[in-house]
Amino acid sequence: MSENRSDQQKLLIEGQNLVLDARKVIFWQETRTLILSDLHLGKAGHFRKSGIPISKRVHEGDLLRLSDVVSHFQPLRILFLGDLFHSDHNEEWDDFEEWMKRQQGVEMVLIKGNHDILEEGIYQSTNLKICDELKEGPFHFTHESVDTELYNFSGHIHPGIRLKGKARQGATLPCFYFEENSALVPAFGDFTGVYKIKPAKGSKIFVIAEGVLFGINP
Amino acid sequence: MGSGLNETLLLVQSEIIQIGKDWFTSRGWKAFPFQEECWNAYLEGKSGLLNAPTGSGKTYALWIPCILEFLRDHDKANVTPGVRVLWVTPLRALAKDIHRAMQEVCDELDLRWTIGLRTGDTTATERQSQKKKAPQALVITPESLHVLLSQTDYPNYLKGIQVVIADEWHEILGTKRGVALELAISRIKTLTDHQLKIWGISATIGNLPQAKRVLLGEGMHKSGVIIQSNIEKKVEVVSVLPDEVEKFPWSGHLGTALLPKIVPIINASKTTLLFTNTRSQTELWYQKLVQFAPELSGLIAMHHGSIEQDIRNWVEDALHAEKLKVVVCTSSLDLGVDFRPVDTVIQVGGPKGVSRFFQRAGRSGHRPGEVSKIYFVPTHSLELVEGAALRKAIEEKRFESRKPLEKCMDVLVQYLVTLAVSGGFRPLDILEEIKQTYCYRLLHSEEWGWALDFITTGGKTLGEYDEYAKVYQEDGIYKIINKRAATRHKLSIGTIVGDPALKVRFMTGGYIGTVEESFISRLNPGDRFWFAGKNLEFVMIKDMTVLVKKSNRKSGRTPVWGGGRLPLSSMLSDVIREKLEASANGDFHDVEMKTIKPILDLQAKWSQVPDRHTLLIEKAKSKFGNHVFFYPFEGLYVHEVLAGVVALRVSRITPITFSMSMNDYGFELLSDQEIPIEEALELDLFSEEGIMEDVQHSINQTEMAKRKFRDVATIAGLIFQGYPGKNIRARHLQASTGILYKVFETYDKENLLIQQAMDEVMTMQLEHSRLFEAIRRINAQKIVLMDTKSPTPFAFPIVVDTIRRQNLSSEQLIDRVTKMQMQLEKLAENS
Repeated sequence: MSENRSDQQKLLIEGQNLVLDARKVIFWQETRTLILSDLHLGKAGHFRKSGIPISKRVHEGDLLRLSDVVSHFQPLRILFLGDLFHSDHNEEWDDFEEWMKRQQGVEMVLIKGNHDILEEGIYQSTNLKICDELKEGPFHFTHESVDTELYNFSGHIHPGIRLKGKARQGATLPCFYFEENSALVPAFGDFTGVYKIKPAKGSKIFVIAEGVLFGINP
Repeated sequence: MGSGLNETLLLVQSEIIQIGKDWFTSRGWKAFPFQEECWNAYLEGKSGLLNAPTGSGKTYALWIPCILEFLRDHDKANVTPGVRVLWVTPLRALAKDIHRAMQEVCDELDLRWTIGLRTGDTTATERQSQKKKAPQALVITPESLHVLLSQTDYPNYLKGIQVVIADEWHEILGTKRGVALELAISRIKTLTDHQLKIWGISATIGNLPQAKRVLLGEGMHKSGVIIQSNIEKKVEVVSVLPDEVEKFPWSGHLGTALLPKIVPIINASKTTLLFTNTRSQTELWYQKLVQFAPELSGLIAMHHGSIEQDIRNWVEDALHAEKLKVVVCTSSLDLGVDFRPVDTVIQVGGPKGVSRFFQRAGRSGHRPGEVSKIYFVPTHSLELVEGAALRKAIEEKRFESRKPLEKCMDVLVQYLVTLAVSGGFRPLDILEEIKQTYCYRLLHSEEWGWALDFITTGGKTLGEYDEYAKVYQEDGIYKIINKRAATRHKLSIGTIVGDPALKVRFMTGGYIGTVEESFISRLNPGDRFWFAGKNLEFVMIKDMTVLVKKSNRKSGRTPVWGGGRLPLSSMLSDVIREKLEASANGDFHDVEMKTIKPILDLQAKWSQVPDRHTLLIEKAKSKFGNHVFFYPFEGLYVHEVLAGVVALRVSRITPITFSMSMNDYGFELLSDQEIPIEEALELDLFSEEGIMEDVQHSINQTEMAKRKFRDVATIAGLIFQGYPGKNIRARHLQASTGILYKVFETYDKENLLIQQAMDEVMTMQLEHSRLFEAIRRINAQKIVLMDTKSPTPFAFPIVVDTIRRQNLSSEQLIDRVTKMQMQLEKLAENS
């Protein structure tokens, strides 16, 4: 069992080398790209504005984690698969701009998700590149999954899976999910939930539990 | 003070009373002594509590003196607008009936009073006209009362109130709606410049004096009176017995096997109410009855809280009009409204409490002195013990108490924001008022400070909340400036929290009712389910509405609505233990006990039937793994916590993962590995040392606190349930309470709402000391561990029909996942 239980997992998809990390990111080695999805920064602030007191520390935690993976992988580029920022502008966006400034020499690309509704000008004042989708090599990156001839990576649904045991034990955990032609990336942000997916036959799941990845073939 | 003046007053009083008596005579009635007693006490300016059952004329006991008081103090022709009487009722359905009765009296006495009706159903036009020209009496629900308090001109509107009357107070007491009413009364007391009268009407419960104290408040309760109707209700409990107990199914949606015995009872009666414990059981019984006795179709109806209001109204009207032979219902028909044609009551499944059962029995045979017969239909054979226990408890008049709530921070937060919306409040004034309520009489200044901080800055530890928009302080007055926040708050007033409910509609139009989101999310288009007695095909969800079409199939799932299950009351569990002990000593004089003798004999043969001085534990193996069963007979919730504590303590011996199940009689620990129960018992499994910490840990682990937090968070305004009647949810504002709980626990540990969720588990669910009494009792008991080959008759219901909870584990999540994964793979190989 030991070989499919670690904090990182190497994977060859369409001839490309990917590293899955239990901190909910994928590192694409050939292009030195860090792929992650659904940060939902600013969600705490959005709730506060509506009178629901959620501490911004929740997102400071997210950014700290992101800094950790950046210093670990030393990427040339970070690719956000959408829902980077949760809603209208609030001061937590400024925190994120500060964070981006500290990532010298790292290209930032955002594929717009349904939550990314900031005004164009706000994005333009940073070095964040905005697009609706990205096709590169064998891959097609989108926020919501699409039918495509390329291999599709998407986020959006915050994939998770329910595990069950013989003696009725169970747990719902976030996961990476790979099918023959597409993959789902887990939500990176801490202030997010998990949507239970129904895995298809022949798919490959990597469950994330306490900083460890488990490979499962349903 | 000459005695002459007193005599004049007395004379006036008796003359006034005579008007009431004459009205009774004009109807061919005669006032009961308790009614006259109420009239007198009221006219003397007293407050108090009336203990009287439904159908006894309790409304007239308190409505008549409201009118008599006016006739005494005013010129009958000189009726000015202004609310004098606030009649608070827990149910909208009740409000209508009360309203009708009240208006009738006024009309017949030729008094030009308007009686207003103010519930969630009241239209905007009606509300406007009530605002312009205030009625003399207002029938209102606790929620609508708080909506009134959120309107700017409320002080003027409410200052003329003479009396607040809380109908069915036993139903509201012990709930957050009760707390909401306590708060509203504390406000009205200050608004009125005369001595406000407060009256409650309650069915029989174990703590009437306390019920009076909570309603009247700290300053007033000592001078309040308790008036009892002394109308003796005779109740006969008849259990419906299976012919052969061995063939009688163990559990599940059973009891329907007894239909051949139930239908004759229905046929022999004019009108029958068949009570079940949950809405899903109601659906099921309705189906089965129609299938088994097709002759009933057209004469049978169903009534539960998720069915559309119009249908429910129709059922109620049809009941009055004697058009129905039987109505299958839940507690939605428990209250108040008096259905005269009902002469038979059937209870399916243990009612879990003596008071509730007694009140349901009272729905038949309304005339004083008549015997109310109630049939008890067990859903599994062991439940027959409850039939015997209920009879004994009623004979001995052992009724449960309704424990009032204390220090509900969520309701307080909501109330303060309500006052901030309607023009603002001065903290010290409000603090003084709420210290007069029972709920907040012991509120510390730190807790008060926390509540103020919470609504202004978001809480002390979260001072960085610059953008936080709620309540602002200006010249010592706390108020809301943000209009949107104010509107959002007004729409969220209330303390009844349910799962998010979706409307169910036919494709062709036509509203049927609501189902919980969690049920519908498990269905795929094309799946069939039973609802409101109809077989429906799920088509799709659109705009927060479940679209369905009719299906002619006979199969399909039944929706499960949350929160349906009540735990066995501690009163009833005492009596059950007594009954079991009696049977262990060979006493089978109750017909129920005689019927289940074969089962008890089998239990004794395989294991044993415990007496009151024994805690029975059983060990068994099955294909699922290793089981250990415990039988404390303490009710569902206590078992849930006990299971967690026991699991935690066993896991200190070895890393192990349990799944836990429980019912009202006992609980089960199940693991895929050997459970070292002998060793755990030697190490004193139930020791009181460190019990507090272990209980807290267990409550956290078993997610009881998380479940409570859902309600707390909603009431305190952390979760916005959307705009009623509109299919829009606030943009980007959804977060499940699970996520919020996690966030608060990690980043805002001091939050009193988290603390309250924990306290609610301890006090509301576990009834204060019940858990510790249980542990103390266990420690005084002899513990007997039996090794059994397979689950015993006691164990079987826990295995097959039970509430299952998330597992508790001392293993690393990593190890657990490894194990589950191995089993997943094994399963795949096998298949």
